[in-house]
Amino acid sequence: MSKINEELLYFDVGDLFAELNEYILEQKAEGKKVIAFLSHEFLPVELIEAAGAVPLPLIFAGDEDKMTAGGDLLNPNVCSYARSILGYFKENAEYGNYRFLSKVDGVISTNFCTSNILIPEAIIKNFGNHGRDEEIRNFEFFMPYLQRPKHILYYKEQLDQLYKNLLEFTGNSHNPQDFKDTIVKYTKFKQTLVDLYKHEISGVDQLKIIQKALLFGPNYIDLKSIEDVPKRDFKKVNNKVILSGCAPFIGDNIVELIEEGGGNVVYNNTWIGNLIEYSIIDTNKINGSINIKEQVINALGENFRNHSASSHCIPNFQDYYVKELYKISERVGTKAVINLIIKFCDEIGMERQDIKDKAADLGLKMLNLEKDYSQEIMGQLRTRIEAFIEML
Amino acid sequence: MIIVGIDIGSLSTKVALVIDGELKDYIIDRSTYRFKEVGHELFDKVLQRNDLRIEDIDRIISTGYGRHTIDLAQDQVTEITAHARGVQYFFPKVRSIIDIGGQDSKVIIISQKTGKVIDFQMNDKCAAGTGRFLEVMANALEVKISNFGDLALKAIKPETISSMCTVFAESEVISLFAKGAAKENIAMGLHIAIAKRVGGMAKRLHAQPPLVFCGGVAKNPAVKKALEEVLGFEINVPKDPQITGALGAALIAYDKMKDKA
Repeated sequence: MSKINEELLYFDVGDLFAELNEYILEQKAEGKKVIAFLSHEFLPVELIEAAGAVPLPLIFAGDEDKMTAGGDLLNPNVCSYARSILGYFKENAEYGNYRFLSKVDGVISTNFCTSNILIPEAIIKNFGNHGRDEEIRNFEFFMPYLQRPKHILYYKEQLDQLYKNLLEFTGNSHNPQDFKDTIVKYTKFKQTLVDLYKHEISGVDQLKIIQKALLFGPNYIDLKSIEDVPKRDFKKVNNKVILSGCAPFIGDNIVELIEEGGGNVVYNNTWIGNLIEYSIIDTNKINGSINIKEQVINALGENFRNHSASSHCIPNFQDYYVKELYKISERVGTKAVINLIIKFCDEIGMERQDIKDKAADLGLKMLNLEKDYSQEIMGQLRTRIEAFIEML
Repeated sequence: MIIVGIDIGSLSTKVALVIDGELKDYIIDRSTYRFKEVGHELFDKVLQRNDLRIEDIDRIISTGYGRHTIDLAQDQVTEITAHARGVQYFFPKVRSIIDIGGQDSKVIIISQKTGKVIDFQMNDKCAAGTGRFLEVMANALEVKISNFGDLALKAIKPETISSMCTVFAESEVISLFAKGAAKENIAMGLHIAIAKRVGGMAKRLHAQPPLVFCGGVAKNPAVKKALEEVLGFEINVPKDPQITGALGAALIAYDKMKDKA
């Protein structure tokens, strides 16, 4: 593997949090508002920055303590990720590792999945005015469940309203040129992340680059050095694996386990991975300097309509999801898929067997790997992963 | 070629001696909490009673839950791949395997064409559907685990056990016992419960006969009977169902060395 600019990586999650604390404090010192959200491909982070706020994606995996702490506030059988995020807020202290959470001014609640609805509500209810001057503001952003024209129209209205609400909250006004610059900057940034898999970078490092890039954004992270990393020859990689399903959040060691077990994650088809592609705004569709905002919202509407495998807006999405995986498998030259299921995830978890059966019909070998963030399951996870790699 | 396979399970450690692809000797004992030491002791015993020295061994390979703990081994393989190979030694045409050990249970599907593992599933992080479940229940009924299956086979009308959680099932057993239910009927109810759990996993993977049942729990005739009823076909049990992991690991090492030679 080629040498990667170390600034794009992180070696310890604690160090990453320390860096994030510093970054958020600097942004706050400049008078900016911090907007937290649970990331997925339908929530355009560009709009948050274009409105003059600091986007803070809550993309952190948890541990036993955080899951338990979150379970006390919600329910022990809500997804492990949702419980963990609340656990972070509960553990947040003025001088602790997660003190950036005490700087959150607003949260965006979406209806992507049950957790996306529950977490913002629970954050506001339990921590909304905890040690803050002002209560955390809730921004509702609801996405339609279908892709017909009237649903796309509704989605675009929601985007427009979200942007207006954010502008009103930050006290900024819409500046078409700044808006366009932000969109162009993010498009380039996201495209580099989406193309990471084409370079000679291990799955573990790719994931770390993506996680850090999403956390800090293009104003802080310069991805230019990626271009110097040679392109990968997929034919020369052994035991290639596609990772799919739930996102491997910061601190989740799933990709490390796969690569320690002898596999190579060559494609990461998750929200913290190549699904970013669905959120890239096609800047070729933005012309001139008039109605930039409308053009961007139209482009986002197109993205929503063109999403070919979303569990959110495609009824019986399993068929499309598996077809998409098949296309990826042809591109990277492997039939092996590890489908990550975060315990109690209602989006991916409930359809696991159907997805696996449909994948098998297309010749894909799929391991449904269900996990939470506890340490005690590590031995069993290793066995499952190693056995799957032995099968290849 | 002389190969030793060591299977370090959560409850028992198994060592198999394979010479030129044939099982020559094996030994089984409790793992206790000293995985590494027990592995060494059993390895030494097998060597001693076969007049072998460590220098005579061409390859040592480990498998099982504690496969990474034993420093003797030059290679490791998961128990899933190892059981598949070990079972094929006794039943070459096997298509599906159910392995129920001390702390986990698994279903393994084998390709008819290639003889390789094509799918598998393991139980979740919980004692339901494992040997530990039966051990706890045998204790609750004050029956020796070695007699538990025979007792269950005497049942006339098995009780229904609705909880699969080991803790709740234990309470259910005590409550049934207090209501005057016969021990053998409760025992069979528990065996049916475990068979439904593991059988369900097998059905999800579309397990087909010939199916071989291995692992320590396969010594229990009542689990075998209950599994046959759940699955709707007869299942096979090797003469010593605990040894397939260690044997399979040794055979995998043998196959690799033979290919290289």
